Amino acid sequence: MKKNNYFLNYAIGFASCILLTLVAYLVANLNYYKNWAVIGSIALMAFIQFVIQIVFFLHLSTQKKDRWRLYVFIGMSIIVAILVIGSIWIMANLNSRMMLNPTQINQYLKSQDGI
Amino acid sequence: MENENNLVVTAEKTKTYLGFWIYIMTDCVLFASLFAVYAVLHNNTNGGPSNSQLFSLPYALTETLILLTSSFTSGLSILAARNNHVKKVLLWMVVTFVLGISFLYLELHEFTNLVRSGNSWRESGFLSSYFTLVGTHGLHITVGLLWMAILGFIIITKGLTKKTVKGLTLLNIFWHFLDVIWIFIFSVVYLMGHVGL
Repeated sequence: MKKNNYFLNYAIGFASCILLTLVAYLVANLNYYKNWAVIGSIALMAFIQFVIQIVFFLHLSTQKKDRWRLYVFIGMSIIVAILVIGSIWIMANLNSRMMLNPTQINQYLKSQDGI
Repeated sequence: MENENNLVVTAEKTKTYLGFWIYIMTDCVLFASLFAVYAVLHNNTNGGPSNSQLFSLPYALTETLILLTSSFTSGLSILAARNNHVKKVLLWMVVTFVLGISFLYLELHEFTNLVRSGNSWRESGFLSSYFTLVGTHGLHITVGLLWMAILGFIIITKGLTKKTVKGLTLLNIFWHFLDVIWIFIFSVVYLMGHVGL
């Protein structure tokens, strides 16, 4: 690969990351409180940046020389997905099974004080 | 066309490079668990101020842009190493180091402000998880900066040898990885916190 291609890679990655960061920042400043479209687009922008940095900065590709790095990366992604989604899911589930709102939980905790 | 057998290409073929990549992937798992803890605890403010009341978005954006630029300049130092240009390597390393130090300063400044205003990690589950997540990232940045300083001095004395270029490629992917983690901290903790998730 020519020298210019490497530089172009970094420049494209850098420019698009700056752009995505600014767009995400502006979207967050639209003052929509708890709006799922806003939250979703911030998450999407973060994910696109993640992919861009992996490809343009960390140079992970499907070429033969990167094969093992790719396998480890895929394994990591699966573990991370299970860990994060699983934790949030289980804890939210437990929370809703408590069937108590925060005030009731506080009352319950206070009634249990001193045991 | 440049020489394909240069030191960077050789370094990227070593087992150390793959091993370091595996270490970075396990570090991702560490950060993922801290993110999961934050996601679970971020509403447990124990009556204290919530996320959007505590953090300033422009401040976090400044941190993000500084770290992103330092990730780019770190990549430029590898680019210079590909062309065997030792002075350019050192120049970009110094730029990366200065940006990294500024980032660390901003982060510590934010931490001290939070603690001084009575919002330390002891106040609530939310603040504990916040300090653990962002603090672990800051610790990685500190280690990276120390590594960068030491490697810089070794390159000044020994030049671009097989060993120093290998160190440089490893440091480079470590630094890019820290920026990748920061994207998620910025998006999840600061931006999503601001919109009230």
